[in-house]
Amino acid sequence: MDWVALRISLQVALTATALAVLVGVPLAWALARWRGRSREAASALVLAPMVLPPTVLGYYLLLAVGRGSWVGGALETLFGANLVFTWAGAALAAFVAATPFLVRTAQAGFESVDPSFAEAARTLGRGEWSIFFTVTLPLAWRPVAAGTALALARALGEFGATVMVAGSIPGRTQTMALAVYEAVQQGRASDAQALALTLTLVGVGLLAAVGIASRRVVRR
Amino acid sequence: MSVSVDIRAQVGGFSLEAAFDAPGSVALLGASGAGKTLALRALAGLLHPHAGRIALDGQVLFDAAAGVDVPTRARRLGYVFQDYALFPHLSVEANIAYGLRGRSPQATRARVGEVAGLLGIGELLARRPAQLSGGQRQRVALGRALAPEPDALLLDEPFAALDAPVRAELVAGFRTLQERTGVPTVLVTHDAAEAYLLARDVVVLDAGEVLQAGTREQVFGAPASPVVARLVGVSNVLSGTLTRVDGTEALVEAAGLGVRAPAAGLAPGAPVTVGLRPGGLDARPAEGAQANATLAADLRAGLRGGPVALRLDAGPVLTVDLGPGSLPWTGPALPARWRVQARPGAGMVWPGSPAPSHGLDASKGASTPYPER
Repeated sequence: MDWVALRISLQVALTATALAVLVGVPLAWALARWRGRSREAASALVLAPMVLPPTVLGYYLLLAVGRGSWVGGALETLFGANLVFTWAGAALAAFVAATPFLVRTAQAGFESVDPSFAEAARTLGRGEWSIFFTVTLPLAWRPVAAGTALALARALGEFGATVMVAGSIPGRTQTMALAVYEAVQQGRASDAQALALTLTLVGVGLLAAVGIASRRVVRR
Repeated sequence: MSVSVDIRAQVGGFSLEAAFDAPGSVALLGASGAGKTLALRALAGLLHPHAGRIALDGQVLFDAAAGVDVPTRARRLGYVFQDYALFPHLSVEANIAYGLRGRSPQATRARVGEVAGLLGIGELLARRPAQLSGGQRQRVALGRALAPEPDALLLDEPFAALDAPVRAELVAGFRTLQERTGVPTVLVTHDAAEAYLLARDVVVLDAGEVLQAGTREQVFGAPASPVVARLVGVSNVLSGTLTRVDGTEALVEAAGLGVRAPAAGLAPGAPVTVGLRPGGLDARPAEGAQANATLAADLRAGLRGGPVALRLDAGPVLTVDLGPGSLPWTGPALPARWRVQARPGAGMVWPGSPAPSHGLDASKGASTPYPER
């Protein structure tokens, strides 16, 4: 079995999930509280990566951070490196693909928290940040955890966007999901089997975690 | 304390236009959908009116014209929600301490202990809200709102979710609490008795408008209209005719009853609406020509007396309070035929025929002995 692929997979998926939590949880909170008209449009934009073919997503990412784009150019001047064909590029692809899963689940969780709890906290003198960390998040931690597990699973399994942005370079950007493909292409049956089994076990394990976390959404 | 409210708000399809000044503890009384909760939410800053002004003790909390809208967290008002909104993930102790941020741990613990002692919930501090009875939750909600020593306490139907025996106990308990803490209160209720017991001033709301505001004696003693009368517990509203004006007193004939009421610029022959409290009627068993009513329903609660429904031979059904002195009629069966008379000075008269009131069903007003719940 290819342990390097496992290490790259974990590195990419955990980085992507951490970013997804940092960006997705505040985004989900904002969407849950947003009462404006453009809420649905913003929601659709956030969830778009879920419905786009991963290769199309990867294509857009290439356009966004590739050599030709100003973002890519800026990154290259700043860090002297480009994201394309690096593990960081793979993490970016997995992050973009995985975040909508977290946002959708966490947003539903935040919306399920009775708004009178936050109102009560306001009458007791608390500001919005304090309320988020002492009331809203503790009451919605299960859906947030479930969304995080889903995002991790999605990041681990990411293929299409990753291969577009980071390629499939063994030892550098080749994650397990990519390694399975190569193993099959090259007729390494036992490698393919081991990789597939590992990814399956991890996926099922995460699904079980989602199930446990979402069993009860809000305890009253 | 003095509350001064003059606001216009639009929520969904409902429009609220409330203006009142209350110098003391005040009750906002009205049926459900009257807009009283919206007015309370506006006071707390949980709802933003589109126009108007709100001041508490002369301090402006909201002024649309001047662009003032003090955020809820800075208004220093305790708020007791109808379903209490206790934080389900926190212990009773942490719930009460929630508004005490900025104090030292010792000071916080001391204040929580003080409040818990005041409300008799010292034994419950380690529990979660889910492990409490309805009455205990209500007291924890009161404790949480009182702990930061607010300038006023706002309460949204704090007794509505409770069973009748617990409710009576907690209403009495709350009255004691008002006296002991001296905290001014703004109470939202649909229950006339609660409003009368727990407030100095009463504001009657219906369909988003203030129908009457004044001291409880003014509002309960002289309701401005039949709609207000029904809301303050005048459950018998009849149509009548003014037969004679006798100095300052009017004699009115309504469904065969002679009613005397203060005459306020009314001329004989005019159609009027007559209001009679259940306690403003005298009823005794009678036979033959003496009788003018038939028992329709016995609504008394055991031996303590209480209301009965009597159908006048002229048609209308009256709710009559037999009172605790109603022995010897507390036996299992009441007689069928009765003589009903209006007690002197018990009647209220308004010009015009009773109109089917908006917000209240006229037949419901006549057949419900006490306001709902």
